[in-house]
Amino acid sequence: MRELNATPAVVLGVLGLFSGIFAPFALVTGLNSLRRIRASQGMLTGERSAAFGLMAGLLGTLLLVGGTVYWFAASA
Amino acid sequence: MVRGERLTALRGLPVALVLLILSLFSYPGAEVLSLVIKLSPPARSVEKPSGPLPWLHVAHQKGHTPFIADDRGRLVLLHGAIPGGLIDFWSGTDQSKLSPPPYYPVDSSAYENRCPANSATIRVPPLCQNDLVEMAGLGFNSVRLPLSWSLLEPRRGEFSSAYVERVAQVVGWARANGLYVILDMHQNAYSRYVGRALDPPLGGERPGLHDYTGAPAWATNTNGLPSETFLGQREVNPAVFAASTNFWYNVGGIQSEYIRALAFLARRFRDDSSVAGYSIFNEPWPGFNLPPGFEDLLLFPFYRRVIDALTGVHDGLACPTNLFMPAVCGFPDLGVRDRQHLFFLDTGLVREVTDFPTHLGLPISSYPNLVLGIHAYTHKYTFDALAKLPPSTYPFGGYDQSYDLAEREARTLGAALFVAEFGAETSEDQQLVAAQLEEQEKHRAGFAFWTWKENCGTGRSWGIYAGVYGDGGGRCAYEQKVPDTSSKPQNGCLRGAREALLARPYPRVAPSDDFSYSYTPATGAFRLSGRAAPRNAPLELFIPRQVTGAVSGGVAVTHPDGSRTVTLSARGAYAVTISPAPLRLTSCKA
Repeated sequence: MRELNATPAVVLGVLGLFSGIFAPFALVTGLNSLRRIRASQGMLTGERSAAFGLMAGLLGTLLLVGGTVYWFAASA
Repeated sequence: MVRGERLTALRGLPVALVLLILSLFSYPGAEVLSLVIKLSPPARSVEKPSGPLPWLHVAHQKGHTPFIADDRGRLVLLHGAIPGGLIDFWSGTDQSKLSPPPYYPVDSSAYENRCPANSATIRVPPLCQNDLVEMAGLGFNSVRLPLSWSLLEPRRGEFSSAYVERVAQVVGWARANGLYVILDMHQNAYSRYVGRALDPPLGGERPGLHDYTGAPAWATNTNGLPSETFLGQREVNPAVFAASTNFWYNVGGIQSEYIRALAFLARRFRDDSSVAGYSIFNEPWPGFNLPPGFEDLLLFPFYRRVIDALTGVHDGLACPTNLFMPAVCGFPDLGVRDRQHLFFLDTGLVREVTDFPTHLGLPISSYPNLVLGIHAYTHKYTFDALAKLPPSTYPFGGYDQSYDLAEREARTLGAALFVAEFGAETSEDQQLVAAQLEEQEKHRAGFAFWTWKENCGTGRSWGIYAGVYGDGGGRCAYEQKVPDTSSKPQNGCLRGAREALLARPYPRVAPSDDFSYSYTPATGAFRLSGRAAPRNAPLELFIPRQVTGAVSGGVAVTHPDGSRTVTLSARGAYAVTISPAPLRLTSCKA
């Protein structure tokens, strides 16, 4: 059975790459989904989707934080 | 690594690959490229001899907002107006005729020592030699000259040399009057070829085509969506949404074609120092895209491509130019090698409504001569005005909000700040126009006033001069029950309130950006104070003939038309004042 948050993690991950505001949500959703899948001992699927959400979310969040820091530093 | 671990790693490969490809098309790619640009050394200028007006550039000093500077490094303020005579406006009396030919002659010989007849069947009068003389008479030192892609490239791949020579004619008149020219690739609501639904199927309003300019018919792809307006806004039109989106996504290679058209224009003016630079795209409308992605992933990368193509700097990646070009894509060098002019970059149109940044300010080019152009319409087109709410509702920071944030935006982009457009109804002069001018002084930003002359408007015309129906307003012939198509004078009166506000003393060049100044049109009083580093070049304060008060500080020279230039070789602290005195306004004889 597919883990419920695996697909939302992909969607949020893609959105997070185009608009950083979604990235932290992708990060959390992907992480939770991956934990549940790992803990299910093969009962739940969707590992790749969850991993994508996690990675895209992490990347988007890092860029969001970095971009915000840049904005304040460069515009001061 | 044991076999099982290796297999697990390989299973992760497609995920990483998809992520990498998506990143190239989205923020991660755009941000990495911006970082590379930020860390790259600025592209070098190619030194060329100046004409009568010195070359301008953008000066970058650590801890300061970049500013427009002359060849001696002095800060330059540009004051000017925006004449619409070279825009390809719709014309006629019957708006069901969708594609009338250009109204005014394109051939420059039609304007040699004469001016074609004016008519209220088109929104603006022809632009003639007298206009540039009159602009100089108001103390302007620049003109933002709007052009239309539909006249520059009427058929795909065929660029109009006649139109470019017409532009050159106006540039020549401007040069003779000491005015810089900003060549502005103008558009509003994409194109006058978006069509007009006579019986709007979605329940909107029939658009007035006189409000639509820009792209030629061959570059206007509306995907069959109806052209009808909503909320009373010309851009809120399904056909405009579609056509704009197709441009940003380079559908059919039209964005690439636009860049080639700009290169054709730039080839003619690359050695001309009286051209300040190019305004790449006026009031960009996002279409179906939302900010900030619109600016950061579509608009600003498009600006980078134009700069890549015209200057020969290679900031973006090499990509096919006939397909959608993601944010990381640059554009091939089109051989113009224009490394002296400024590039004026308009923010997306939504910023005009929000007075708030709609982008992240990612550096877009290593070419250093960038100018951020804002369109300042606080309380005119901001949320409060569009929703008919009291002005106290928004912006929360009043007029300061837009300018304070614009300075920040300019710093993050590494660009100077310029007010590429502002204006209002004549009844709003003392509120909106006066407040904007005050902000511009506070932020040492030059301006271009919309608009110079207009025949008629939907209310009153917005021109510095009254329209052809006098100062009381008047509808254009196409909006009259019985259209008046008779020959008209070029304009009505020079509007006194506008002359008083816009013909103002200002430092045309200042030793550095360390100064402040303010002018009070009600009294004619002016003060300027600043601090110059030793060995700095002199300050030049221009006082138009309308301002008559006595000057203290500096050496004043009076010109034949009554205007004055005060020169002050500053070392350390300096100050110039003009005492209060009645204004000498031009009497109206129209």
